[in-house]
Amino acid sequence: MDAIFHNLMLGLDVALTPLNIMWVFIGGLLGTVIGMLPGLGPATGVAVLIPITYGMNPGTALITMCAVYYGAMFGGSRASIMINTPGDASAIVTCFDGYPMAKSGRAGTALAVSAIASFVGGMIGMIGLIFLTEPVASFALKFGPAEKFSLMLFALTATITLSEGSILKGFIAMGLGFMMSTIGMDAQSGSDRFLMGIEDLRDGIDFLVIMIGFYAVTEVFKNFGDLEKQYDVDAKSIGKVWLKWSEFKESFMPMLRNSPLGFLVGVLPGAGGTIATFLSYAIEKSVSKKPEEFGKGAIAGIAGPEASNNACSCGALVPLLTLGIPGSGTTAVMLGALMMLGVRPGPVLFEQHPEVAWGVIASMLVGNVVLLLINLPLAVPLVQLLKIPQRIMLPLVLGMGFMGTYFLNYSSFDFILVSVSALGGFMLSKLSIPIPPLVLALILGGMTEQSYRNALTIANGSAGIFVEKPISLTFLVMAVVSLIYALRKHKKSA
Amino acid sequence: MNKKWTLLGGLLASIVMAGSAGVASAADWKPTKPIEIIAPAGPGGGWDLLARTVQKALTEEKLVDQPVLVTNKPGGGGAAGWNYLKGKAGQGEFLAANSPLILQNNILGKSDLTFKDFYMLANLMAEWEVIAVKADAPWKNGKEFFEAMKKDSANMHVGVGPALGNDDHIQMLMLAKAYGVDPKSVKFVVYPKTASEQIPALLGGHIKAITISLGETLEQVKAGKIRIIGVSSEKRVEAIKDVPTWKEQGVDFVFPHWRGIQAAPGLSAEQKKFWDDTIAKMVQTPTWKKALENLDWDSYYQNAADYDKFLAKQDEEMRTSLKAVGLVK
Amino acid sequence: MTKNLQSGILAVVIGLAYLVGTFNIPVFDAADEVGPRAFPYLIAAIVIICGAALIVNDLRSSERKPFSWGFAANSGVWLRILATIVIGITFGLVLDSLGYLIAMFLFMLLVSSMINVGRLKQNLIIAVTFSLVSFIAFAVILKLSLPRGLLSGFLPF
Repeated sequence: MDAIFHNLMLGLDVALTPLNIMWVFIGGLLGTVIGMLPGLGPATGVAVLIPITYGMNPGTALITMCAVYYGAMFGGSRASIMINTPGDASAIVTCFDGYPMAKSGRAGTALAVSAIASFVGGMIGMIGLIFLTEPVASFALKFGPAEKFSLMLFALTATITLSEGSILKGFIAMGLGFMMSTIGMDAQSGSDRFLMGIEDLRDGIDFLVIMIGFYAVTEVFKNFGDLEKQYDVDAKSIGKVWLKWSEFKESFMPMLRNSPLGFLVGVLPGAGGTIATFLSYAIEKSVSKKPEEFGKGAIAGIAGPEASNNACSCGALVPLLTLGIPGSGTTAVMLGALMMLGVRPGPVLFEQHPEVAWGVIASMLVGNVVLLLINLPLAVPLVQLLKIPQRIMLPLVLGMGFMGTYFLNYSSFDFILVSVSALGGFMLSKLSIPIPPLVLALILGGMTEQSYRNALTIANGSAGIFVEKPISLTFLVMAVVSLIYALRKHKKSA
Repeated sequence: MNKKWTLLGGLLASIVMAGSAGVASAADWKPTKPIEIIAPAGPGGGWDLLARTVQKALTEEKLVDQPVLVTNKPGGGGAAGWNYLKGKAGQGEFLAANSPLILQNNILGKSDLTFKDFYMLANLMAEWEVIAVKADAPWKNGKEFFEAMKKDSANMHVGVGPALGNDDHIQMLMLAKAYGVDPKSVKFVVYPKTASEQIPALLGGHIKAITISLGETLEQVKAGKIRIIGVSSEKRVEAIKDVPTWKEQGVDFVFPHWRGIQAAPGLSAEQKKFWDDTIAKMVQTPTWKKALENLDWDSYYQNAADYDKFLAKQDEEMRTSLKAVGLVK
Repeated sequence: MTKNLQSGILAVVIGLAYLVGTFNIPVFDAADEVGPRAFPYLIAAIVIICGAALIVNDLRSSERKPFSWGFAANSGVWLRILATIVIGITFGLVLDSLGYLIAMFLFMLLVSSMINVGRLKQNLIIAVTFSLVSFIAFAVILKLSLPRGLLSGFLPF
């Protein structure tokens, strides 16, 4: 324990130099802005920074890149709240309640909750990163393909059972998402699947493109019915970006509950923010006393997932720092950039360059505070966007959506995907088929199938592996329980 | 201030050049637009890193007057980026990173593109392939490992990623064959997210071995958590001096995982000469050498002529070995 | 037809089409024991069964509100959707040859004229500002590669 505090002080010495604070600020601001834009995520943000880091010492470079990384986590949900356009997959959940709140004139509250929850999640995640790295990393190693498959199955069931409307439609939505995820070349066997003669599909469908279609563009389509409509905004309250005490109380427990969850999910190899945020949302809805408010502007529906997401991004640094392997796309870019500077993150870094390793950790504590200070005032101009009439806002949203689509893969084919998926999203919502299970299944589909097949390969074909492993069995039981619970609830209401 | 003037100068220059293009054709060629290096994958992978290293060396050593951009064009195991490059025929400002995948895609029937569709500018670097096991595993070398596999291949799962048919996979197949194990009996577990899933899976005991590039394992080797039982290089690698090569272990197998750089098709002799000279200069610069050292990459420079011969030979070898296991019909 | 009935029919149709696709997946020697078809079979089964159940439930249920897509009643909405899709796909096709600046300008001008009807001056301002600001921000400042197209000889960056 003493050693940790000693190291932390060493780190703070590094982090609190004016130069490093300045870079935390610049990186955080850049990350926030990039995170807000659909299609541009933290990975692009860090990549853009690489040429700038050439001249820096490795510590400052890593500090700056980390600032972009969690800055994007803060920024990702701004656009979810304001224009129903998640900046990143982990910001999808924030759309569920954030956007309804903005539409009903409570954008300031939504933005404040999301910034504060991000801050709390980040801080709790950092505490996890500082004190629990070793035990958590060895726990994560227990996660083999069977455990991963069962976890994803649980996340999917929880999302289906808690989404609005009929469970049958929820399963249909999940099935459609899985169908889309199987399009393309099968990694395990090399077989092409469902290409329908279109070569561009061989790499599979990029879920981020579909996400822009389903959320941003579909939302524009929905508004075509009422172009002269103004948001229901009260000119007086619009500028207020703060929480009432009651709202703060409402978001407090969700933040505390979901930060540890997000951190743990972040540590698991390849799981990431999507599972963390969807699970948090399901948890908050099921423990809430007012579940009917979810989807219409529940504060807990923003606070929980946002805290979870930022804690998750701290968790994702654990494999990078303990194993020297990147846990996500962004950390992979950071790893590459650092190697160019002659520093390899990993266990050896803590022994050979403790000032770098701990400087970065300390700077993230500082950075979380800086980002809160950036994001709260930033909400003030953002909420003014609501004053822009629909007929001007909608073209801008379309422009951003299409621009963001291009930045994902620089591929013209994606414009077809985004247009078609927007039409699909519009039709599904007309039929009251819920979108969240579809999107989650699309994102997790490849991983779910591959984990299933890897588990069976390792068990030489015996499906018993899923119930023999205790962690896997636990998730399966939880999935079954949530399903039974939902079926009984539906029987009662029907 | 300076930058503004260079921009303005560049603008003037480009206008003048555009006007006099017809006259100046015989003279030496120089890039007149920003140079674009295509990394045919998302940020963070080997291609991206190579493209950015070349960008860094060209810019910092002032080998070109134009700005250098890196464009990520993921898709089709590189095919999307290379197709884009193919569409820039005759334009000397476009380069792309490549790797053995440009051969493998074609061999496996995933793409019609071959290396013959481009001006294959230079081979640049190589990483070496290894087979790694957990530090407390009983197998110390290739012989012991493959003996165990011969006895009980059903319990000797090998992790590979991101898909079958790549260099990592081919290494395992060729070694298995050399050690007298039926390549078809090797149980592969595929990890689409490569090292970030393979290494935890190995450390967690879910699989018995991984076939992977050396660089991905170095941190774990230094930390004493995994052991490398053989490396595919010609001579021993500095970073893992006590690990014998496959050759030392009595198997005639040297297998570089190389990456190089290619230019658009249809370049003029002047354009080719410009890049041949520039890249030849670049690989001698301290920036380039330092970057390779930092990244634990071995220099593997081959100029355009040598690279072309090398590719033809590799193409034939891989075709034979993939046919043997039934991945190619 | 009710909403649930239509959803059910849609699910069964898509599920069957997907099932046919699954039969056509090639399987190589080197495949794993599970193979590339198992998971798709499972998905097809889930979607078809749930779709069928939805149909049966609906036919049995007493309150059956008819559902209409409103193609005629809301023709304005559907036409705009169709136009957006056409403009969006065309944007992708011309992006490389025209370059980002021109293509984005045209895209924005067309979609905003379709939404913000009859205010040409406003729409021109939106189109010019959006394309210019985004180009400068991403291509010039952040150095992301955007196609320069027709203007490639004139742009100083």
